[in-house]
This record gives sequence, structure tokens and C-alpha cells, in this order.
Amino acid sequence: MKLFFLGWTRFVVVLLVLQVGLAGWGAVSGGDERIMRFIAHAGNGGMLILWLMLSVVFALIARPGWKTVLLTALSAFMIMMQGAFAYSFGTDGVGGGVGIALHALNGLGILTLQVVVARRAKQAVDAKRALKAEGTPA
Amino acid sequence: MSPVFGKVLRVWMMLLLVLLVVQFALAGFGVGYSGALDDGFALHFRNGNALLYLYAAAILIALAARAGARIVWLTALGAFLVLLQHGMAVVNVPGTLWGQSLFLVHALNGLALIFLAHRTGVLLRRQRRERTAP
Repeated sequence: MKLFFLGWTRFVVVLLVLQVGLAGWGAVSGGDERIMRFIAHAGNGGMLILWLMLSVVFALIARPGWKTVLLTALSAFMIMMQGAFAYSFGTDGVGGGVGIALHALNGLGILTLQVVVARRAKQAVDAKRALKAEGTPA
Repeated sequence: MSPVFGKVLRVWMMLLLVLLVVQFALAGFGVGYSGALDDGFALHFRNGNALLYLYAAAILIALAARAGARIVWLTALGAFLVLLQHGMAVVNVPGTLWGQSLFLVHALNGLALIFLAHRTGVLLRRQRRERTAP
């Protein structure tokens, strides 16, 4: 299960990087309605909310250490905030600008957190393997 | 490595990292401001110009610091990637598949730059520690 959690977290990291690319894609697309310009970004983002909620469940089952579980839960919370940043500051003017600026920074934060979680999950896998090699039941 | 210029380079790379993260936020600001490539992106453009010169200066500082071939090349790679960001912005045609694909790469390249600036800083810190340790 620890190994599955590592693989799952890496999958989420890849999707988060893709999400940055899709934001760039939407930024230069034509049209008036923002949700339609950023439809790929919004679609992938909606799925990422679900994936990170699942991550919390997987982390609780895999038990890679309480700090790792906490960081996973924090990422799930932060990705739910993304919707609030994107929609509750208005869609234009300085307010809308600040909203999306915070949205970008928060997104960068989620990616950083998940990279850290992936590294910690790798350490948990290695530690368990070392235990097994010693013959101690883990 | 020269202790003085080594220190300057370390601080310089931190400054670049901060400016790159700010640049990421400013891009978001431009998108939220109006969506079109106009006033909202003024700060993103200005900071982008500053980043080009400051990253180019990092090459000179790395050379002055005698930081080793690896770090010098990494700063050169960073300056080249910033130049690439400007190039992509110049040849962009908004609202076309070409522009959209290009800016998918523009965003990912920006993300890579943040990672590169961070990584260069980490390598530099390690090298400075090894040099000063007895």
C-alpha cells in the first residue's frame, strides 16, 4: 500500500504539472466566457479535487508517517480553496486579478507540497523495504 | 570559489527565485484582470524584462565567483530559458491553436525555471559548505 501511495502521488504530481500547462493554454484562447476558455484547466482541476481527496484516504491506509498524512490533507484543503480564489473575487479589474494571482500562488503551493509528499512516500517505501530485508515483520 | 562572489551569487539566485514566483502570480493577475493581453499583463511584462537582465547577470556573477562549470552552465541555461519565454511571447498569436499550444509550453517552461533557480541555489549552497568545511 505504501508503494501504491507513492505511485498515486507521482500520478497526481504529473497531473498538477499538466494543470499549469493547461492554464497557459487557456490564457491565450479566444472567447468571452472565462469558464469556456479554461475548460480543459477546469475539467482537470475538478478531477484533481477528487484525486487529492482520494489521496487523503490512501495516505490514511498506507500510513507513510503522520506528517505526510497531514501534508496530504493540507493539499486537499488547498485545492478546494482554488475554486474560491477563482470565483469569489469577480471576473475582471484589480479584484479579479488579485483573485487569480492568489489562485496561481496557491496552485504552485499545492504542487510543491505534493512533490514533498512524493519524496516522503518514497522514504517510507525504502524504510519498509529495509525492514523486510532484515527479516523483521513490518 | 570566491567567498564574496559566492555569497553574492547565492543571494542573487534567491532573488531570482522570488521574482520567478512573483512572475507566476503576475501572470495569474493578468488573466484575472481582463483576460486579454493588455493592461493586466503590464507588470508581468515589466518583471519579465527585469528577469531577462537579472538572469543574464547571474551568468557573470557565477563566472566571477568561479562557481564551477556546472553552476555557470545552469545559470546560462536559466537565462536561455527566460529568453525563450520572451521569444514565445513575441511569436504568439492569441486565440489560435498555435498560440494555445505555445502558451502551454510557456507556462510549463516558467514552472521549469522556478525549479531550475531553486535547484541551482541548492547546488550552490552544498558546494559552498563543502569548500568552507575543513
